[in-house]
Parts: sequence; C-alpha cells; structure tokens
Amino acid sequence: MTTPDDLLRVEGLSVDFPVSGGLWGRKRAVHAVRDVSFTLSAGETLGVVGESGCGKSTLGRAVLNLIRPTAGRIWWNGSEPAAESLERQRLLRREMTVIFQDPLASLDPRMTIGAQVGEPLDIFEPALPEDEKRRRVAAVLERVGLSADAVGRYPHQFSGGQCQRVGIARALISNPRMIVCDEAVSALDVSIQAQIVALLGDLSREMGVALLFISHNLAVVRQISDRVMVLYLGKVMEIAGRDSLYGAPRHPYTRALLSAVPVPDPDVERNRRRFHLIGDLPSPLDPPKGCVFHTRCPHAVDRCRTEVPDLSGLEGRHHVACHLWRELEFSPSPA
Amino acid sequence: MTADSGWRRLLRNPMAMAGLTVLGLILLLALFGPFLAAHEIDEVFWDRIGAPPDFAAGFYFGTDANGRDLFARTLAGARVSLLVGTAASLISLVIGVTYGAIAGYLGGRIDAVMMRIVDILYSLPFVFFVILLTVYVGRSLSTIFITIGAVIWLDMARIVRGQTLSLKQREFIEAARAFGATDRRIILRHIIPNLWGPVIISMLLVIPDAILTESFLSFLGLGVQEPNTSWGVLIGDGAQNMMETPWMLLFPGAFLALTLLAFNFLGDGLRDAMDPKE
Repeated sequence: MTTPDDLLRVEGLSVDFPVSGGLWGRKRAVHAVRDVSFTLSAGETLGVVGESGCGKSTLGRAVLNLIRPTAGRIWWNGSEPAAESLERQRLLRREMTVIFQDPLASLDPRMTIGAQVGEPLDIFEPALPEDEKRRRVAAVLERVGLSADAVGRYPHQFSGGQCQRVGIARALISNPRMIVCDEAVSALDVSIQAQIVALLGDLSREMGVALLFISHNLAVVRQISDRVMVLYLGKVMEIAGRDSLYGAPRHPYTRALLSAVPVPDPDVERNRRRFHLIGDLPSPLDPPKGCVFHTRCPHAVDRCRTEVPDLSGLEGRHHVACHLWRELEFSPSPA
Repeated sequence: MTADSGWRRLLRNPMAMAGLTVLGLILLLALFGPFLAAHEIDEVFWDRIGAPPDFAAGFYFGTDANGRDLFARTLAGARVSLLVGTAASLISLVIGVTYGAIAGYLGGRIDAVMMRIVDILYSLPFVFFVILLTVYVGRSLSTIFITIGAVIWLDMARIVRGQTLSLKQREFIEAARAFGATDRRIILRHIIPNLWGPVIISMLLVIPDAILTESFLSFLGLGVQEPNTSWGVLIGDGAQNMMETPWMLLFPGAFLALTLLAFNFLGDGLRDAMDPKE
C-alpha cells in the first residue's frame, strides 16, 4: 500500500475524547476525528480546512503523536511509530515538528529566544559544540527574518508576528521533514499573515519540508497548499488537488464553505450564487447517522440519512464523500 | 545570559541589596560573636540578674534571668536560628519543589499516591512525630533538622503541585513535548523556572516557621541544650518576663524581625529579578 514517496500515511484514524456523564450518566465520547485517511508526500503541502470543532487540530496532534488515537494506523516514512519504543517515538519529533496557533503562548516566557530556538538541538544533538549551536541558531533566525540580537531577548519583547517567526525558527532548526502548522497564522494580523504564509511557502519549497497546513482560512489554504482536505465533524468530506477543489468543488459542504468566502469585487460579490447552510453544527457527542452532513445539506435525500457515503474517487486524486455528487449540478466556484 | 541579566536586575534593586547587606551583617555578627562580646555566654553574674543594658560593663543588651550577658547570647543564638531557618528553606526548596513538580506534572495515579503521602505526613501529630524521632535519632541539633525537614516541605509541595497543574495546561509545555523534550527536561527547564514567584514567597514564609518550631523543640528539650541558645529560646524566655525586663524580649526579637524583613526584601528582589517581564 505504501508507496516510497509517501512520507506520511494515515489510515482510518479516529480520536475519541471520553466525557463523563456525571455521577449516574453513562460514559460518552466526543468523536473528534472519525475514520480519516490521507497521505502526504515529501515536500508536499496538504491544507486541512473546516469549521471550528471539526477535528482539524486533533488530527494534527494525533499525527504528531501528542495524543493517542482511538483507532487507525499512522505510517511515517514506511514504518509505524506507534509500534516502536517510546524513546524511538520521541526521537521522531526531530523529523516532524509543529508551529502552534498562539505564537506567544507557545513560547516559554522565562526562556530567551536563543535558548528556545536552540532547544531541539540540545535535545537531539547534545554533543554539538556551543559555538556551532550558536551559529545554527543565528542562521535559522536570519532565515525567518529576525536579527541576531533576538537571541538574548524574551518572547514578551516581540510582536505576535515576530513570535511566530521564532516559532517557525524552532520548528526548522532540526531540519524536519514535515511541519504541522496548526492554525499557524490565524492569530496574526492580515498583513502579517500574508508575510508568514509566504515565508512558510518559501521554506517548504527550498528545504523540501512537507506541511500539514491546518486552517479555517480558505484563502490562506488556497495560497499555500498543493492539495486540500475538507473536514466536517471529524470526517473527510472531500480531498483533492488545490485547483481541482477550489475550481470544481464537488461536495455540497465544500461549496457552501467556498461560497461563504467574500469576494473583493463588489459586482461579483453581489451577483454570485451562494450556497447557504441550514441549521447549526451538530454536537460531536452525538453526530448524525448516515452522512454526517445530511442535517445541513440542502440536497439530502433518504439515503443520506441512513447510509454513510464512502470517499469515492473522481478523476485524478479528487475524492468526495457524497452519495449525490454525480447528480448534483456542477458549477465552478464563483471565486 | 539569562542568569547575567537576572543578577544585574538584582544588583540594581536597592531594597534587595539593603536586605542582602543586613543579612550579611547579621551573619558576620553570628560568626564573630565570641570575639565581639565582652563576656562568655555561660558566665553567670550573680550581682546582675535581669539587669538592664550597661555599656560601661560590656552588657550591651543587659542580662537574662540567670545573670548571663544577653548580647553574647543573642549572637550565639543567631547561629542556631540562621542555620535552622536556612536549612528549612533549602529543604523545602529542594524536596518540596521537586516533589510537587513531579506529582503535578505526571498527574494521575502517581500524583494521587504522592499527595496522599503528603496528607499522611501532614496529619501526623507533630509532637508524637518528634517523640518518635527522638527515640530513634536521639537528642541533638541534627534531630531538629530532621524533624523540621520532615514536615517543612509539605506546604511547598502542595503549592508547587497546584501551580504545576495549571502550568501543565499552557501551550508552551505542550510545545516542549512536541519538540521531543523529556519529562525530566520539561520539569527542570520549563516548569520549575516558571514557578519562581510562589516558590520564593513560600521559601521565605518557611523561615520564621522553622525558627519558632526550633524554639518549641528546644523547650521540649530536644534541640539546643543549655548553655547554648537560639533566638527562639531567648524570645520564649523574654516573653515570660516582658513586663519586668522588656530588653530580654526586645533585643532577640528585634534581631529576628530584622532578619525576616531582610529575607523578605531579598526575596522580593529575587522574584522580580527572575521575571524577565520586570
């Protein structure tokens, strides 16, 4: 199954969080991620989009082995980390790193920038001479656009955008093969967002780092991703190449998401067709039977309420989980 | 470089430096007491029982109820009290912080077992505990350290555990884990440095507690034996006669108060110096 260029392969991944039902209540579980499968090739950027609470971040944390999946298997570079010793799993953290959403909160307030960026080196290359370590910290800081005198300063002395650059430097210093960007730009100003996304894109291309780019921002995902995966209530709705997904979305949920993105041109914005969703996001404690999206889907038929749609492949690498994708009228996204 | 700027901030803090100077002076007095005092601590002057200060005769602080020089005795008491106070705060720092941080960070069953041990030690009647220890260890100054040491770190462990529990939820701890840091590294490099504020405060609170506990133990005959003395013993004696001979309470009391004040100034300075945001 695993092809040689698959850096990461996830199959049937599910993550449940137990919720206590009070003293007499029965034990229930939040199904944060359900039966998610995808692959990521070396150097590729996979965007993961969806509403808040759809399991994007949980997926990222499970891939990083920060939380234990309830079911499913993850292959990294052809082997399964879960089957290896804890020490081996820890050493893998050198190859897959992470950039967090809140740049300031993810940095230790009592540690200098230099010490934090250099920490992965302390952990994985303890024999590295001090001046070599300093040189590499300075080099990576320069690469992300920070001056060398940042080394001796503390996180609170920096702006959000600068802190996120520090976070990127920390994620890069061990020369990883994949970086999970968990809403890495959502906490930043729009102008800073663009800079950081451009930086991430450059770094990914130059260094051949694969990115798992988790975001709710469709425009940002479109800018940076090679492929995009759409999640709803922990399930994959659609996964396709970027142009295929944005140009010809097949799943009603993807269409609704895309049509919610405002278009800068007022004439287009006024006249374009919108797909409106009805109702609220159902509780992940008690997800709908059948297709999870049927409660809000304008096209839902009886079959959708009883039968879970498989991810079916279209042309290319476009997959969609919908019973009706063949029948639904195809209209290119107005954006 | 972290330590450097921390020290510089501490050195620039006038209150902390005043505290440090006072503590240094008291330490020097304690060390060189025998050379400064005009009389021995156990020399009884039958004609001067409970006498007020008399500079000409070398009784700078007066004499106690047994006619001994209070100045010499206060300086001698400083040795025991400073030793007990410092030892207690070091014990609570080393054992209490490590224990609390490990329990809080690891959580779950390990935390439950570790904290129940603390509860058990906490609930043992102190006097019963002291008697047990005296039986097994015998009466000496080291009994005091063991006795005080055994119970003094419990508060610290509880405070540190509580702080660690909330600290553990912070994103930078998860970040450290995601970058491959071991539990040991997370506790030593990320949890403990972020605990300095409450840790320093409770370290300082432990000092008067230990000094007073020592006087209680000495009163029971377990700690300092006559003619040696400590501030706790001197204050206890002085308090019994405070209406007739107030200087017997005033001088050792003033030394204790001054020491605690100096420790507090130094502690505040340390806390600020450790916080990069100051």
